[in-house]
Amino acid sequence: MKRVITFLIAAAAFAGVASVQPAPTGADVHGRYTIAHDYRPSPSLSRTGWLSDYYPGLLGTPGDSRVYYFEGRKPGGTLFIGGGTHANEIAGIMAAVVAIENLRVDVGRVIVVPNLNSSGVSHLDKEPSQPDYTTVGPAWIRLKTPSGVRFFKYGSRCTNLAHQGVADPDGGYVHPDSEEEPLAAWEFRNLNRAYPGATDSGLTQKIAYAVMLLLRSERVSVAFDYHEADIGGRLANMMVAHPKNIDIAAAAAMDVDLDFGLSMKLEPSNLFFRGLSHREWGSGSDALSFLTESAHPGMGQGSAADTDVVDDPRSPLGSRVALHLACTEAVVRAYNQAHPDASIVFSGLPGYEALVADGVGPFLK
Amino acid sequence: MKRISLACIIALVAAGAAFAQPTAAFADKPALVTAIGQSADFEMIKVLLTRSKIPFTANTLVMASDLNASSKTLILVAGGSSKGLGAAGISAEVELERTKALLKRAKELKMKIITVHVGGVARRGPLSDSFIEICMAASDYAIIVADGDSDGLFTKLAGEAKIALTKVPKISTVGAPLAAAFK
Repeated sequence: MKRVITFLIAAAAFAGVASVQPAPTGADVHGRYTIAHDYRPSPSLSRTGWLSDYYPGLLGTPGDSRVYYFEGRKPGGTLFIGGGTHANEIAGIMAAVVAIENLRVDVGRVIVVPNLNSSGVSHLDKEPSQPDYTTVGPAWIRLKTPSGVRFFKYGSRCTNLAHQGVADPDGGYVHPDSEEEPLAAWEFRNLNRAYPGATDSGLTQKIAYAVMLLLRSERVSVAFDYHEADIGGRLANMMVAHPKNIDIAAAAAMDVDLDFGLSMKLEPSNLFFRGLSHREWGSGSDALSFLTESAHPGMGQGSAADTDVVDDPRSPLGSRVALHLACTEAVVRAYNQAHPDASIVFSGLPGYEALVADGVGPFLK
Repeated sequence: MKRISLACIIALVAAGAAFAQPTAAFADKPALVTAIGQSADFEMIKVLLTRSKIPFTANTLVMASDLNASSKTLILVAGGSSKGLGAAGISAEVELERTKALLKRAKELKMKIITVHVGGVARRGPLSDSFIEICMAASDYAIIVADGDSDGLFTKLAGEAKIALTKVPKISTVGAPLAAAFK
């Protein structure tokens, strides 16, 4: 606990220096117990809000998170981009940040939550029972940007044990709607096992509940959850899609292969495996739901604790961010073809080749 | 040395036959595409067929009793997915039985049969191989993403079935030989 408090004090001090976003003041408790990340939105940002705007039970908790809204001049569909479900899967967070700092939306809306599980970035705990893909990474990553070196928070796969508010269940975690065998107890704090969430449970379940409310109340058309998997593993370079929109995922996967030589495996959500974003977002809202997995060099059996999670030549951060954004753009193109009356048109994101060649830093402010 | 040279020449000729595309388009339209092993690769082939403007119907679980003269060519998207089988509510054994019956009926109807394997090495292994073997043995032609043949299984099976095998480097290049197979 002492480590956590020390870390939060250090993080808050750093954020106070680095943040260009207003810190909560006076009686406003939004974000009081979350890190004020140094994200610098593009001029097209329309407004920001919070997950707690959808579910007030998150207000003033470490599970609240900032929501970025980009609105086009013409009405259309709504794209949702979520990063940081697992805060150690840093390419997911950084892909969302690159979007925030570069987006221009012409038609429809784009809503971005770069840290879906804010509590996950508050710690680096790896518990003994957790598999290798939970990783122990750096506290921060540093990137050279046009304005100098900037730091971005790296975290843990799960909600901080100190924040969950409810003990991990004895005998393992079983999703309330699942008929499957119990998962490891710590999966109770895995946001990507918690959807559609609950208000009378742990913080993780409350975050999931808020995200579902966001998707429904904003009438999200296309929703992405950015993840990373162990390099060389089954999930790496995969797009998972709800069965109702697997055709759009297939068209997008074909396009990124044609355009960039990026081979994406494709898998439909297993409707019997409950709690995952792509499964529950797709079944519990009107959104077409997708999850992309890039190959994280620090995840997987035998990965060194000091693996360079930014510049490892096997899978540098730029390539991983490029994967998420290229898949998103390809899916949106395929979606627009099928839904011309509710299209989503945006620009400004760096190209796939540029991200692969130059990395993420040049595309941040 | 002479024996080795002769063996090499024979091997090269055999390999040439095995890797060659059919010399002429042989498959009639429309096609019926199904997933043998219930992998999502089926969806990718639907995209390729649509973009190639090949008329087709698609059914992941088409049964032998569903086949009739309205479809002229059967496209088998081979590759096992335990998730896909689970989602379909069937076991690998049931899927193999469906496949055997389907192929028997397709032969009776004199349908052309094309096996497509696009998952590469990631879509190999005991589960996938059981489907691949049965599909290849009954097919008239096969198209695969090359790294799925890193152990030579497809080359061996194509040789045994005496069918042409086209290997392409990636999934997006499957469309051209697939379209070329149709009259």
